[in-house]
Amino acid sequence: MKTRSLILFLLIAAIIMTSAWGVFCGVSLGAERFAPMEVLQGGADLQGEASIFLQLTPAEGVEVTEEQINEMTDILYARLDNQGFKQSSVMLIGENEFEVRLPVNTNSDFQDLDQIAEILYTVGNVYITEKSDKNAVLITREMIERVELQSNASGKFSFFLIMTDEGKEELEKVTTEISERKREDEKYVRVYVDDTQVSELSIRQPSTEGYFGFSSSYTEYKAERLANILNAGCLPVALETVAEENVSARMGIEAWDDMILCFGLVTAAMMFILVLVFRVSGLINALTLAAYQAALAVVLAALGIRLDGAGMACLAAVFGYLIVSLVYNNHAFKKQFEGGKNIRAAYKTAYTETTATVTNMGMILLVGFVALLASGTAALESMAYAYGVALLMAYLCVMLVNRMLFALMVRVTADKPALYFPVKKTTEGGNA
Amino acid sequence: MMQSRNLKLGILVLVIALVAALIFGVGLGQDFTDGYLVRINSANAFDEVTVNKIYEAFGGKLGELRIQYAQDHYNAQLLIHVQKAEQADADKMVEIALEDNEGAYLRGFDTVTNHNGAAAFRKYTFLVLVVYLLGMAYVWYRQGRSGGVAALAGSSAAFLLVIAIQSIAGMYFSEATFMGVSVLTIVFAQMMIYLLNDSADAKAGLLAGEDADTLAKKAWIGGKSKVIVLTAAIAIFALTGCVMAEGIIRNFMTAILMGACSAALMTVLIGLPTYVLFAHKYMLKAGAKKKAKAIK
Repeated sequence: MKTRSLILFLLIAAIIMTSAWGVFCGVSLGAERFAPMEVLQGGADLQGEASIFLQLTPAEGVEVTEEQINEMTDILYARLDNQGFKQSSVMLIGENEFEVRLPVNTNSDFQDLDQIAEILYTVGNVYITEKSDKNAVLITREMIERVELQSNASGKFSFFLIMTDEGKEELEKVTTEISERKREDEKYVRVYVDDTQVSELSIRQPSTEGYFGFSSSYTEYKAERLANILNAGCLPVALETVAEENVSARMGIEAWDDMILCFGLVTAAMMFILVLVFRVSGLINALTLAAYQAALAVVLAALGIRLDGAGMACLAAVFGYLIVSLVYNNHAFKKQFEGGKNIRAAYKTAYTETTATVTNMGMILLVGFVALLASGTAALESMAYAYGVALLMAYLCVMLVNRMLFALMVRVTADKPALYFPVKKTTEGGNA
Repeated sequence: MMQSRNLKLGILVLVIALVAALIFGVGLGQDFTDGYLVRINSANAFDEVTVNKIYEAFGGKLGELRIQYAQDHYNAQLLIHVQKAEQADADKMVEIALEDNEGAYLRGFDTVTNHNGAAAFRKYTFLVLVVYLLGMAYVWYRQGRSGGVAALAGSSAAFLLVIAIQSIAGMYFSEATFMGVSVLTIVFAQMMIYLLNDSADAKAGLLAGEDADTLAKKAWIGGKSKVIVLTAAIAIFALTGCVMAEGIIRNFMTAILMGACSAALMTVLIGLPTYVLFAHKYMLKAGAKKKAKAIK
């Protein structure tokens, strides 16, 4: 029994240490490479970002108003949100330039700034005209409320322009008039987006439902991108890309490396202190810490959660929670042992006793996570997720990993309390 | 009574810090305010020496100063964000850049309008309050009214202290130093208060006729190691950062250190005394009421 427990303990310890080494140093598995730390994504303040500078290009002699600037800022934010760049910022530089800051850096999955710039500078003016005359606009952008997409069995995407009340009436009037035309070639209309024709179709019957549908040959990505652009709104003033730049981290060019090194050093220091103070219990705690850091890095990398400065502060808070929980367990264990219990009984009672407190401390942290997540603030989403994932990992490590390792170790060393703390038998039969 | 003295001392420390902060002024960083952008371009890459020289020349003079390296297809660029500046400052920056980079020239000096800055700050402040109130409500739920009041007093004092210290130190609040450090300080204070209250075992102590000081002593004996460990873990982390890193990241680590220390200090000076004094006053009162009711 003892030998089996010892082998199992050593096996789990070896797995934890090997996994931690693999996670932090990276391992090559044939052509593949397992290196979560290399793909871990940092936020703009720690790992850098990208900037796109867009210049306002109004028609000659036209002044851009403050309302238009505000409207454009909202539209740019909406387009970025729709494309998944929720942590972006849009700032007005001078009077005729926007700087759009994107959380795109060397570790990002998507790095094509040209495509993002195109999403931003597309005006989004969708309208329907007669085929014969591009200037004969039948349905204007103002009459279209939103755009919906639908795919058919062959993977083709159809666009549906959903009309406003005014647009519905106009569409019915226009389609009735066109469908009644005698000549077949006069029944055709064209759909344009920013002067680019996206579809041509004939009107056979009046449209009374309040929407106008047309098919396209667009791929899923292209169709969704266009729908997102159109749904975010039409820019009142045209934009032109001036520059696309990769920008270093806001907290300094070395910020990410410094931060990771700090976490590494403090983990190593705490492992050393725990072993020094708590002996075998400390060794188990040190293994728990290693398991926590490795598991956290893997989960954050796998889920693609971006770590920014605020997220790092939350990770530090959870790290403190983990340390204090481990120390709390050890103190309870020592207290039970000093009360006269043997090692196994002391371990069992101590863990039962501390569960409520450790859970309650975790709950105090959890409410913070819930509040951040429920706020719906896009900029804080990654902070909230990093916080939540770290909290879950810490709780699981304290409740499962630490407990399991302790259970195995007390089986092996039940008769050797000196491995845990300095022991002296008291005259009353207790331990001191 | 020792605890009353601690509480008074805690309030005094807080008031002094807040008054000093009001005098020095709370500095909102560029994440929340408008500012200026100086763009210096060159065909050659800029090095750290240039950046350090600009930090030395303008640090602390133009509000929050943030310098980032940028690179487009053809040019290297320094993006220098400041909160207040004049054309002369931009020209001076170019002069400094020219000392180490011959091709440096001023690409632009423009105002920056951060449309969402003020709204973001208001939203973050509201969120910090929500985090604080929810944490307090949970401690109240687990440890009763005394625990809730202690969490309310202790964590709000810790939050105000960390804001005040950062202001006195002339630090600017960015998203990370405001949101991250505030959340860390509040949850730390609430965890510490919960742990100390838990160790006090107030109900049993009051039944045994213990006074507030004895309860506090018991709480401190039972909970001090955890409070110290919690503070020490973060202090080691933040101090490592302060020693190793430079510039803005060092400020961030300093803010984390301030957060952990404020939480520990206010827990001991305000959270714990509030708990034992409140428990002593109201639990005994409630007990006497119950007794009187039973006699009736």
